[in-house]
Amino acid sequence: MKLSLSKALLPAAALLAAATLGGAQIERLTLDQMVSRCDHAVAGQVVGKTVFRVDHPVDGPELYFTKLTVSGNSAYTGQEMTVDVLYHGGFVNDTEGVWNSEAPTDAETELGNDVLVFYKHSDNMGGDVAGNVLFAAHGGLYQTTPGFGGPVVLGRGDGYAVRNNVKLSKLETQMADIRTRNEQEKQQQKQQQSK
Amino acid sequence: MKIQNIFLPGAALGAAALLLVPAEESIAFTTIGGSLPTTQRDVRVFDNFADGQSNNNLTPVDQFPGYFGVDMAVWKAGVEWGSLPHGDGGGDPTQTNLGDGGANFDTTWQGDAIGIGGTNDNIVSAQSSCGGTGTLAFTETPISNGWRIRFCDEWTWQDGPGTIPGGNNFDIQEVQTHEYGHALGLGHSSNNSATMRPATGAGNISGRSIHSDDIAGVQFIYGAASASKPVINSISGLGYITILGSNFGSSNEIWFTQAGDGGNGVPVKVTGVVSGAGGTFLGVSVPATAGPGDVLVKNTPSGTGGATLSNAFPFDPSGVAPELYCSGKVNSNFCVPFLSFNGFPSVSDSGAFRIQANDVMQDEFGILIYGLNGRSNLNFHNAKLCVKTPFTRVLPPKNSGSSGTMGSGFCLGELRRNFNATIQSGNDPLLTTGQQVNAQWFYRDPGVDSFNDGLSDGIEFFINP
Repeated sequence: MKLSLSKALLPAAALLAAATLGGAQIERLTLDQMVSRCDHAVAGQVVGKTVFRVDHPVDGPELYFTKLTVSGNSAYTGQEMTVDVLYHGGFVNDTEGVWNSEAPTDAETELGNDVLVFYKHSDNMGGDVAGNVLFAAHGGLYQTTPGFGGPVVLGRGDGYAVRNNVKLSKLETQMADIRTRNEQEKQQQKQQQSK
Repeated sequence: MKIQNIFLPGAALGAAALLLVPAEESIAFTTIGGSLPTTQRDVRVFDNFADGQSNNNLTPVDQFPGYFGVDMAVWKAGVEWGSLPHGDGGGDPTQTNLGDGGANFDTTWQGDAIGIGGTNDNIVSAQSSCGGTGTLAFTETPISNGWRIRFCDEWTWQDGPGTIPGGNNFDIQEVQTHEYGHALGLGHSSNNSATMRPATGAGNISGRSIHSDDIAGVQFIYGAASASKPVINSISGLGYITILGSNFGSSNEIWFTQAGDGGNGVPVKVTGVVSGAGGTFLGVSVPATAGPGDVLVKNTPSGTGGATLSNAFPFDPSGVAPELYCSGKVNSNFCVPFLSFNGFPSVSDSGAFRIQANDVMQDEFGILIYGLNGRSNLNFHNAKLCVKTPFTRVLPPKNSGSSGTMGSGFCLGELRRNFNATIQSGNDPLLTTGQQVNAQWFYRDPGVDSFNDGLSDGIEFFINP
């Protein structure tokens, strides 16, 4: 059977299209900016996922938040850790909740998925909800998958902090370099101020 | 099959997302599943934006009458997805045309809401904070019954209309164009030139104008604009309007923007309007509850789909309001006469457009002078001549009732004239639609000075159809 080029490309095209689903408008970020602005990054497995609702007098009714629990290791120090990260949107049951254009997809956050998450603490992510916020919403969550020589972080493309596929170990080295440089710059600034 | 036309069930998409690296420019729009029925095409704003920069565009634009600041920016963002140019397509200095969608999709601008609303009330608002973590705005939707859009107010939101600075500044119109793309059913595109790309930078405005990839997306969901879709080409008149276009049904709904704030998003409707001239003409009285905004025509016998709803066409029921200027002459009773008006000037409307001067001398004769060459501020008879010469005198007979009435009492004299009678008399062929007219009352005031006359302030107005 002769397979036309367009038919041959169809599955791949579908998969490519799928890779971009989810998300709303977020700030365009480089890895440098992401590491400089978030608190921490953890690579691990999704071990918990709950959704809760808040009705707030200022920020409005029907605010839904998803709490994702990720258990693994710090991408900064390697220490074992478990962290709860929050993002907007989600369904508390089959009928109550809201699809949020910036949230990671359900498929990306299924229990058992291996992920890398970037987060930052906020006292108010809306509705006076405080916690570790998934930085840049879906742009702060990356799938990881086994690869030759260790896990690979799947990049999300242009505009995201992790643009291309990269080994987790290499990404951790890059992030460490950024943090070291940032720390050195802070020290230099302190020294200049003290003079 | 084109790549951009692929739509897969959510589960398959999710699985696929695990496996692949997104490519640049090689793939295009995605959809989230579902579409907005014609009953969910309304857009409102609850203006709780904190920054002054989000509401400092106070320049009126005739294609977006009656609204400014964040309202105008959000309105423009919605019409950019529309099937045809919004009016003449102008109003945004950074793009040549607003209304590029070319699909069976159009919005109805419904002004300001008075609250944030629920997740399906179709209201745009700010949220005090999203946590300061890189999220600019988001859309919430179970799409088929509406949406809610929130802007994260930790950013500085700019209402344009031109370019905006960088730093912490983001463009309401660009981001709203993106978010409304979600509301109508689009996901993100990996085309870096598309409005539906997932990320944008400070100061960017390029996403205000939708890209061919976005157009393909809206046309995929709603279909390319049908040949049978109603089209509004022009609207004329004020109290009673004439809508010219094509594909109007034997019975139609005319949709208006609500006057004032609040409402529930449902347009002000006049139903059962019969078209004329082979479906190219509609005439309807504007409801008192309609305000400046858009007019759309729904061809009711043809069903409920997007192809039965016309493009949105800008409309201002108040037109260009007459304006008072200049100043009157102190009269011998030490009063300063002043003008007022009611109604609107029209070549066809049966109502009156009354130009009235109060605080003139009682029981004295007056004439209305008008000119077609603009304003004047010439010193004249110890006062100001407000009308540039040459001018025409309208000579109401003394004690002529509605044409020119003299009152009585201390500073209680008044002069008034229905200027529509002058326009519609045909005596002056230059008094036609669109003509600017400047007018002023001139009256006798014996003893005030050697000229023995008085003058009111001036009025400037444009004649409507």
